[in-house]
Amino acid sequence: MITILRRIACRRNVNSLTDQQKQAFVNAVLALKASGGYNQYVTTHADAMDRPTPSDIDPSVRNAAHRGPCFLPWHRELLRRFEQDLRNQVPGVALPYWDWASDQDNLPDPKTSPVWAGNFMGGDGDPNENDLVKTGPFAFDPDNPNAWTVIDADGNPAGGLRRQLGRVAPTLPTGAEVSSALGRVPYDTDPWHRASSPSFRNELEGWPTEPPFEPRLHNRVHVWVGGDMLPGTSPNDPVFFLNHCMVDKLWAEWQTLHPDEGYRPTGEGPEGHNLNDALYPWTTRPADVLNHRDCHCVYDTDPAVIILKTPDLRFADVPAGETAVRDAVFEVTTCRPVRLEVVGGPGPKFETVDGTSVVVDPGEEGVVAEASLKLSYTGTSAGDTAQGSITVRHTETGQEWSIPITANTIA
Amino acid sequence: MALHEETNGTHGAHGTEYQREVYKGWEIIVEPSEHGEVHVTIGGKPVHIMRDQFSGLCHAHDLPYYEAESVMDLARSIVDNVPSYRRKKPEGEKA
Repeated sequence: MITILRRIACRRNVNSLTDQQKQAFVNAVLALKASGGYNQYVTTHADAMDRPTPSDIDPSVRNAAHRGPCFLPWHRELLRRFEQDLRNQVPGVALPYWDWASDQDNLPDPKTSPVWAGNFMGGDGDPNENDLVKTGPFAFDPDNPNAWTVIDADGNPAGGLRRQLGRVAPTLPTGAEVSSALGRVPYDTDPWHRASSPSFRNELEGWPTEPPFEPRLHNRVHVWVGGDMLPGTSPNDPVFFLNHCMVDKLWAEWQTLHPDEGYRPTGEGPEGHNLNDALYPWTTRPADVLNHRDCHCVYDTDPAVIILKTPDLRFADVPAGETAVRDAVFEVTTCRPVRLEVVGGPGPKFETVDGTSVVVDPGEEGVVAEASLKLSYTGTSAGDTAQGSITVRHTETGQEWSIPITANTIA
Repeated sequence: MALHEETNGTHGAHGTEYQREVYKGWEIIVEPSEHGEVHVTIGGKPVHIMRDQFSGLCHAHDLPYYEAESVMDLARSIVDNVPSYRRKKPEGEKA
């Protein structure tokens, strides 16, 4: 039996989205813009960038969202909030991620990526007309009052969206750069800013500490897109969220690769960047978002997380002749089908009920679900006891759980 | 109006050299100051530019992901890319 506890966002690679999924995402973004909710993400980002941490330093050294340890949790929280707002507009929609390194490594011209298609983010800006984007759902159209417009840091309208694909920085980051960053430990290090080395955070954020001093990884994507992705108001371009979804996915991958490397600093760093400091302007702390699944999302590349909720099964005091049923319960967090199968047991005194397997099929979304395998025991004679066990296997990975079973009969 | 209008000069009172350029209607003035810092104004408004210890010059808010090789390059990029400069016309120009 399957019980859906909650539906969560399944964040997929842009290249695997169906046309319907692309349209749903675009519709959600446009609806959020029309509602007035989108622009708060632009001003929140710009405001955090202007806020030095601590307050007596230059924000170029470190600010409330960048150039410091909280860069990754701050943007994870921003994505969580943004995605929830999108899902309130279009239920079931999820942020996609743009694997820019794959585009750089595999496409002769990354500007031909599906990201920039007319049915998704739209294309490059027109260099003959101030780099204004003229194709796709976010195109500038002076005759359409509902066309996409950008705002300045104070929230004032500032014209159409601009892009300069590949004109400020000629290339996107490569897979080799991604691999280098994923191998870097620790998470971050003193002096906790743009010069930290070795530092996974600093490398992924894209600040080189040795030549060539060009923007890398996250920073380079901003610069490669150019136009409205360059200033602190960069969320004006919806592709901002696709870039940061990829960055967040890489952080999640790094966490899996280095399970013993936690978030740093835990308390010895600058204010606003420690594990239990509030992320400005929210009350959320880095400690609250260390597991991306706690942000109600999974990535399509995530392995299913399966937790056995019933480490043993007890049929206590079953009256003779009566049959009792118990559930072996697993909590499953996944965005792809998961099959759990009884491959051993349960022993001669016990029986499986309703089959020996259960499948969690989340459909297009991710789910947190309870999957139950039912077992029964029929009381024999007063004073009898019985023991057995079942072995349950996750078909896709081969992971197994052994669950002991005990029973006794009363009169 | 020309896209660029460049002037270099010396302030009489301070004796410091400065660069002046009108770019897309915005007057950019770059003036060296103490400790290797530079003072920059765009349209008369001071713009704080920091010299990064590694790679060049940056502006934490207006061009946070981008480090330019020269102050004038950075100032031009700010005029090009920051919505507030695109939204407003420089003083003295018709909207």
